[in-house]
Amino acid sequence: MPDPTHQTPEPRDPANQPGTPGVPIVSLGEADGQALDTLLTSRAQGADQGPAPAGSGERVQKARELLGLLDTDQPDDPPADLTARTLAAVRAHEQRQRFSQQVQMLAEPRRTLGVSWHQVVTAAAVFLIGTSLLIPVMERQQADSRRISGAANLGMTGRAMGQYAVSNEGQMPRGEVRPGMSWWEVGQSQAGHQRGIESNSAHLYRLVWKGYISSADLSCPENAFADIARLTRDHHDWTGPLAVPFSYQNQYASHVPRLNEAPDMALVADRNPLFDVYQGRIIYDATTPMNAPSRSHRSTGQNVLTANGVVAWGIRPYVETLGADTTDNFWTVDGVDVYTGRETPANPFDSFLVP
Amino acid sequence: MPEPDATPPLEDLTDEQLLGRHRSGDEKAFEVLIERYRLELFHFLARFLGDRTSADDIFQEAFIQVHISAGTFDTSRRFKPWLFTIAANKARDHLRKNKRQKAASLSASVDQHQDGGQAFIDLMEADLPLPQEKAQQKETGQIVRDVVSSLPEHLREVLLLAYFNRMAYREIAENLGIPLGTVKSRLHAAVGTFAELWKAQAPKDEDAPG
Repeated sequence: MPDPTHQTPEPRDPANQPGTPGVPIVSLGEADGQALDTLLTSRAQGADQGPAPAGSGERVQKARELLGLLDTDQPDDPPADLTARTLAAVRAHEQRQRFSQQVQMLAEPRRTLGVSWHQVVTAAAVFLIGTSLLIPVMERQQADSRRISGAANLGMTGRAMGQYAVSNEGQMPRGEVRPGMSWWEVGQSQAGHQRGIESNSAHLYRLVWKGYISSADLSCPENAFADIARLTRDHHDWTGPLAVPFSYQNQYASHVPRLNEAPDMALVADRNPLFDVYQGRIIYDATTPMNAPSRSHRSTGQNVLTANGVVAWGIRPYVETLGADTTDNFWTVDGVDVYTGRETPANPFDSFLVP
Repeated sequence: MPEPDATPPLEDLTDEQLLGRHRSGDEKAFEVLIERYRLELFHFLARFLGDRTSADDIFQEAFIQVHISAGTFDTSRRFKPWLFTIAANKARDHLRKNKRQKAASLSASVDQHQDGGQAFIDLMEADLPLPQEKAQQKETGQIVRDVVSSLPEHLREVLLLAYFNRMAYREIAENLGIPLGTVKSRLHAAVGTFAELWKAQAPKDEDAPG
């Protein structure tokens, strides 16, 4: 049976074969080839003598002698330090490899957690552009929301005032006052105080401690100092000027105002910008224009509750007053330029909203 | 009494075990492996390249490549054929770069077969001169070296691997990526060509009957 691995000699094509050009290839005949195979196979198996095909003993011996010529060329042994130099070369290669990787890392776009700085910067830019467009929109929406919420609270305040008026002969919320009293001592007054109430806000707060409305509802969402959690029906005023959410019709005129006297009259509005707070006390701010909008809603305008229970948003501090048949600035008293905390409305139809 | 878990000396480990240890970061194991093949691989390269300096360089390059590729080596296979394949590839590349033309003169003394057909030699009838005395061996060695060097690379390579490194045909085929039959035909051509070149170059016995 022929050897299945045996193939005919390769076609000779010196042009395609590496090696010495011009050396003609001479192959062994079939019998010599088999003898060579026998010899080399036995050598590969660790023996120099192996079973030879019948009748090929001489050829195997001839092949052995021929190949034995190869043993006459014994190269000199390698240098003794070859192993050490090879190890050093391996280490040097490793070092070059590490250095190369470092250089490559520096040359490549820098990466953080698998994301290039370019991508990070791009994402950041998109984020900033996006947020720069989005934030104003969101802020405007939130401001609108707070303005609407404040208007709703003022509406509840109007209803509470109506109930109060029904229970108190048509009067607005008003405690004991005497002509000429100071009205901006917020937080200093007590109910039934012998000297009267020296805080206009305390009159409005009667709605809370008389149970007509909760302090949470009598509040402006824009007021960061509302202090609602601490306010209860046991209190008789807000705890200080900054906690007061709204300005209320000044109750210190000799005329006791009634709710039904002037339906279009402004009764409660966001805080009057002419009265600021300095060192815990209310002061008059002469630098603020008389027609400035309230600062409660970032000086964009103010919610105003009129005596007829209507809440409206306005940029300027004016309402039409039936009695005066003219427009009335509800931050001020006609003819007064400087405020000392003792001024009062000029007439029963004059809105003068103060803390 | 040795400790029950005492590890055997590195010298007792197989090539494949040493390479496995090297992959785990044991540089000493790699050193033992290099030293183990210092003579055999160097001699193979010196014969293949015909030049000690080149053999020295390629020896180092081969082990650098072993180090680089160690992670991909299947330790269930034999290390030696893999090493020699790497070394042979490096050596071949080296020869191509240097385009040796050394043995052109030898070819002139060999019968030319201009017809392009396959030539054969019969060893029994070739009357090959063989050195009989030790005194002749040194001179013979130099001629043999020249003759081997003049063999085409692809023949020289299989001849050296099969004879000196005692590789089985199948191993040579597997590691050179050629069919088994090609290994055989190359070996037959290598030995036949060697015989023909040797016959042309061997010192003539003056006393031999003419």
